[in-house]
Amino acid sequence: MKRLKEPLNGSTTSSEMVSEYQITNGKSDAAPPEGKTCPRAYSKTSRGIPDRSTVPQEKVPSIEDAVYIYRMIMNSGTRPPIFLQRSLTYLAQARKVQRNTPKSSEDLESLVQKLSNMAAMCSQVQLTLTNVLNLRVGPTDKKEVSIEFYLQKNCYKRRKTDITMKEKFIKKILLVTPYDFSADRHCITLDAAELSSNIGSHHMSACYLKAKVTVATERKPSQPPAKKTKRRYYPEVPEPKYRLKEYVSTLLLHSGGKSYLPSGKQTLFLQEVESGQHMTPKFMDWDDLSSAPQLVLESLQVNQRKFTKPSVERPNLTNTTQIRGHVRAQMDLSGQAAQSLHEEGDMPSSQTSASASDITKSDQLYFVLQYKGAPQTTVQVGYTCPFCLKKTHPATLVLLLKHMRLCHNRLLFLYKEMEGEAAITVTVNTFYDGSYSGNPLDIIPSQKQAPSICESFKCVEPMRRAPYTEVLNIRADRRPLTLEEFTKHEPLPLISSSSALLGHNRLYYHSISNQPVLSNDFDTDSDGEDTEWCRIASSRLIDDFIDVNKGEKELMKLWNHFISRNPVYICDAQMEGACLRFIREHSEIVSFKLRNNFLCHLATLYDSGVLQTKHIKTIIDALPKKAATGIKAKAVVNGYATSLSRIKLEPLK
Amino acid sequence: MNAELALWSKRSRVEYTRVLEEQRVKKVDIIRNEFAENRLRLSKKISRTPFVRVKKIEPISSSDNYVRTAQTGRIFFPFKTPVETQETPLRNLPNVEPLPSMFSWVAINKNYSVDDETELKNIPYVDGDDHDDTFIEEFVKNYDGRVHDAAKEIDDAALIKIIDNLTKQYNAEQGLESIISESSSKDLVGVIPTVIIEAILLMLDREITVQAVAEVKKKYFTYKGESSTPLLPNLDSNNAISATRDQALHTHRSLFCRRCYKYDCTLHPFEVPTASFKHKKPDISEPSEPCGPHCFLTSPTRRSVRVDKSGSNSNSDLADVEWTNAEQTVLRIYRPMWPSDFCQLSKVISSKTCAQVFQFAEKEAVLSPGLFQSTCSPPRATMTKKRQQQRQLWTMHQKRQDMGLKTGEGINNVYNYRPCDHPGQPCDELCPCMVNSTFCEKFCLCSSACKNRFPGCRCRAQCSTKQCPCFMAVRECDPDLCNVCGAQNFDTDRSPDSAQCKNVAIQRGQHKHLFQAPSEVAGWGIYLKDGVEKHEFISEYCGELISQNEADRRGKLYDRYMCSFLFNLNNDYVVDATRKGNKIRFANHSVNPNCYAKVMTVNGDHRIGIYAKRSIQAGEELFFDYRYGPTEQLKFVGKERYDAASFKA
Repeated sequence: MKRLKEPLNGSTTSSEMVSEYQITNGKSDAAPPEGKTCPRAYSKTSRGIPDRSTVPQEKVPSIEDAVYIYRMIMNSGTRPPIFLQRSLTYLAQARKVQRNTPKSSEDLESLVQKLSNMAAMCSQVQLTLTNVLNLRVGPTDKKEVSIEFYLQKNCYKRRKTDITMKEKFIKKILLVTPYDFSADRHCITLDAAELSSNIGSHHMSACYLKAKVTVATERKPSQPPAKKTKRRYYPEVPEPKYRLKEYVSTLLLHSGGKSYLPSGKQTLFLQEVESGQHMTPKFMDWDDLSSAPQLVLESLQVNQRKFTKPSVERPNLTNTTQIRGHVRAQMDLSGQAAQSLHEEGDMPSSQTSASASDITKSDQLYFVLQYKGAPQTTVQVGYTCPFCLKKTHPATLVLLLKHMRLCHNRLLFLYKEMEGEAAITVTVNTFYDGSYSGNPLDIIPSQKQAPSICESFKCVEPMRRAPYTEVLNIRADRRPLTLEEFTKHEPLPLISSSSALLGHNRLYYHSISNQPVLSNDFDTDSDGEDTEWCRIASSRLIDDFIDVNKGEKELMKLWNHFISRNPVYICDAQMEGACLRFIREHSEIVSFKLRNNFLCHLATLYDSGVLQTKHIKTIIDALPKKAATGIKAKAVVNGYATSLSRIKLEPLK
Repeated sequence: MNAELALWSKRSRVEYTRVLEEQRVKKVDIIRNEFAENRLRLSKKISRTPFVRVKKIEPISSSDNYVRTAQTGRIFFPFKTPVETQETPLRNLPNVEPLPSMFSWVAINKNYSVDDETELKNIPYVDGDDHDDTFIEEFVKNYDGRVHDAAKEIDDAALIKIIDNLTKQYNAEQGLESIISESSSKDLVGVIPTVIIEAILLMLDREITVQAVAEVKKKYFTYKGESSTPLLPNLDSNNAISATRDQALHTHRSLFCRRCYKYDCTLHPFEVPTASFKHKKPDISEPSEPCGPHCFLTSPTRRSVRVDKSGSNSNSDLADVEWTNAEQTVLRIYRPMWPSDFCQLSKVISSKTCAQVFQFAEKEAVLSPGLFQSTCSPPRATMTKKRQQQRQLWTMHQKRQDMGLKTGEGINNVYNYRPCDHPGQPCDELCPCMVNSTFCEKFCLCSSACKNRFPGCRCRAQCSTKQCPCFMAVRECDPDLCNVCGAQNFDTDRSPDSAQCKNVAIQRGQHKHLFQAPSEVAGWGIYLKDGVEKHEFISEYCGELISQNEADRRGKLYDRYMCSFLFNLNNDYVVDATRKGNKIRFANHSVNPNCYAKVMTVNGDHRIGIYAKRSIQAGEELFFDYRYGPTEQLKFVGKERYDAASFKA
């Protein structure tokens, strides 16, 4: 899998995530959701369980898709980041501590209230054009800017992959420079029911608001052709005075049975498209965004009437005892696991809750996701991390922010309080090095479980060990967590290179055995070097000859073994040295048992032109002297006494 | 007659099963021994490497290994009364990527020449989704329908054994006395009763014709004849015989590979012409000083020989020295090297004085005068002359190169080199080297002044540019030819100012440390441990050296498996790393590679070197362009198949 430098740029995603989000709601028809956590509010359709529709070819992926991709990247075969294990003390995943006092019925009632609020959906969306930014209109251009709004629906008939786009014209706004936004006519009203409705027999998968801005710029007089053609077949068409510049942008309104349009400001980043062409905007670069022309829309959800079919029935208060019992049973189940975690990681909860208390009371959160394309805003209720579905305990915004900053390094989070509401800007951390996917040194002899460190001194030679980090946690005075911390940008790494960890970020395997390469054999290149089988095979092949005598076979095997053990011998000039070394290594065999065969070998080398007579001379000089059997007493008489005495001193074998 | 035939056929069948059983038992024994040996080797290896206890670090809290979901699962306990339902949050176990599959292979560090398989040894397994039968049928057709069939095959050794046994039986039955058969066993071998052969043919379900009988007989005799060639006894044993030079050196000569310096090498079977003595120049100088007080130079025998050639009136004390057969043979082997330096010869023999050697040699010369005639070839070229020769070679080479460039043929490695051997003729149009447009190498039997020889380079740089003629000719520097560039310099601690040839990597096996890990593209991949520079040598692509025909046959199957390790070496040979290879075989194909392959001529062999196309950092995966056709690569490389599909779409 190719690693993503910027993890959130996939466009072909499925909205499986969506169903994941809502499956609890779906089940809650029968039983109300557990605990006091009520995940989030959606602008709901009439159905409890949304149809799992895929939304391919979305021009602007929703935040949910991004979250899904992010999670997929994060969880694909790797362990969670190291911080998770340490900093989770304040995160009680599904921790439902059994309390002595049963939950008061007020809690339940507030829960029920929330649920019913969720059901109350807006029926109309009002969008007001409040500003146009960065749209340059030159002095010579036409003073008129036309903005057309379309409702674009991605529909499919049978298969979800066969997407057809249907556009419906809504409104055209003509702006004259200087812009004046005071008038009420810049207002678009969309019916929520219409947004989610299917068109005829087509099923709707996503619904966008498409804005098309047309600016007429002055056409520069075209260059007269340098060489005029001789004849003109066509009458000259007068060139139009203005060139039309078109900008296009889309805003996701509705997808997968959910509305994506919260109240508040929406910014549409416009992209220039070739006029006349069908809209094919490219992904914009992050840098382009600030300079791109923007349309600012103010969206307002008007709740005129309640939905006829709320997804969650308001339960009767008479049922509360039953519900409470159910909730308790669930708490029992998960309580034990959470208990131990709770005990060791005792958080100064009073402190955090105190700081959290001054946060805005409404636990509605805005997530503003900014990446390629237009920023997307989603709303969620409750302090659950949208990326890993962990719930903070106690559920406060500060802890959620802390969690997200620590555990989701791929993203940058910036907290902003806007008009009394909490908004978290999510941007992609371009400095994040996502290439890490394991280390050859990842498997290390665990120091903690080894009886002592002297284990490593048992080895004969120095051994490569993997470096490891031990996290020492000193409980120094902690500053109380405040939201201020999160209004500043996260400190970024100084290294600008995208990949901080070069090289070996994977686990290697031995090529023959397929076993992982451990840290201590990381430096030895053993694979494929051991060609022992070659030697065995060749000696066996020599053994198979029937017309070669035993001495010849033995010498050939010895020599072959010698040459293959020393692959440095590659040329004629080295052969003299090779022979000398061969004599040294196999001196007794060569000199006594196989001496004559070795002489044959030398003669063969000479015959094939490898050795010259002078080389053979030195080799023979190096040969140990044979015990003289042929030299008898007469030789001594002949005056060889001195040399003989030397010979006799040598060991006879 | 018919009854007799039936009888013998029955007997032959019995004999056949017995021989087969014998062979089977022998085979089982061999396998058992081999297994035990392997076990021993393995246990040795394990005990040699220090055992390191390895444990994986436990995550601090095990629950964090799970991926939490908001989903809940329900557990039913239907056997309890009342039926209970519990809910628990679902946790996904982390996804563990499986390792890519791999066929087993054998590691080699040098190419390995194998014979063609003209017979299909086993029917390969192919996935059974679509028309397999047609594929297998076509595949078998490549082998001309020859599929290994153990049932009706009989190998020569078994056949000979059966015939021998049956003949013995036959003779015993015919009432031939054992004495006769023993005394003239050689003659009796020639007489195989036709009945026996016919019976064997009958047993093997073959047609009994005159030709078939004759064929079996011929086979038998050739086999017998081969095994009965005179086997020279061991020269170092006591029963060594006195042999001539050619006899004594025959085995060594025929098995020695002059290119690998090995006996019975696996790379050049039957390629190297057997070494012959005729081109060598003997050292005809005489020892200037006597080696001792009783050296042959001072002995009276020498003078007497010089005076009168008869030389029979030798000193009595020297004449009765015993010469063993081995000593005689050794003297005969070494005499041509030093025709008149008897001191050196006595050193070789080491158990005789030079005077004794001299005397014996004189005697031998008298007995067979032609034996030691030192064929005095023209005296060795002096140094200046040699240099002149080389200069001539250089200009010749330069001219040839220019010619080649003009005609556009250039120097390309297309034909496999074979050492030429045409005694008495210079390398002209008929020389195989000239025909194949390869250079003559030092292994050729032509003279060293041959015009077709590559002159080597005289670079003072690193031989890594086209300035170097070796590099230009896609050859690695030959340590025996290039004396300046440092190719001949094998010391590891060479002085810094001496030249350092970089064009010797393949022959020295200076490959980089590679690691194998699952690829980022497809299957397995190969990764560099340390970074390399541009054009640096990475590894040699080793494998089995097979002929083009064999590659065609094998390639059919590899195409089917969509996994091919075939690499075209030249017009004659293909390197196949499927069964034997080295780690670089895991390098994947890419159209935008970071490595390139180059077929280099190293010591006359074509070898494939993988070089870095750009500077590669540590831990990068290696790719090179397999040079598939535009369509072929799509079959093999998953990623490009995908890319092409998306490109079309």
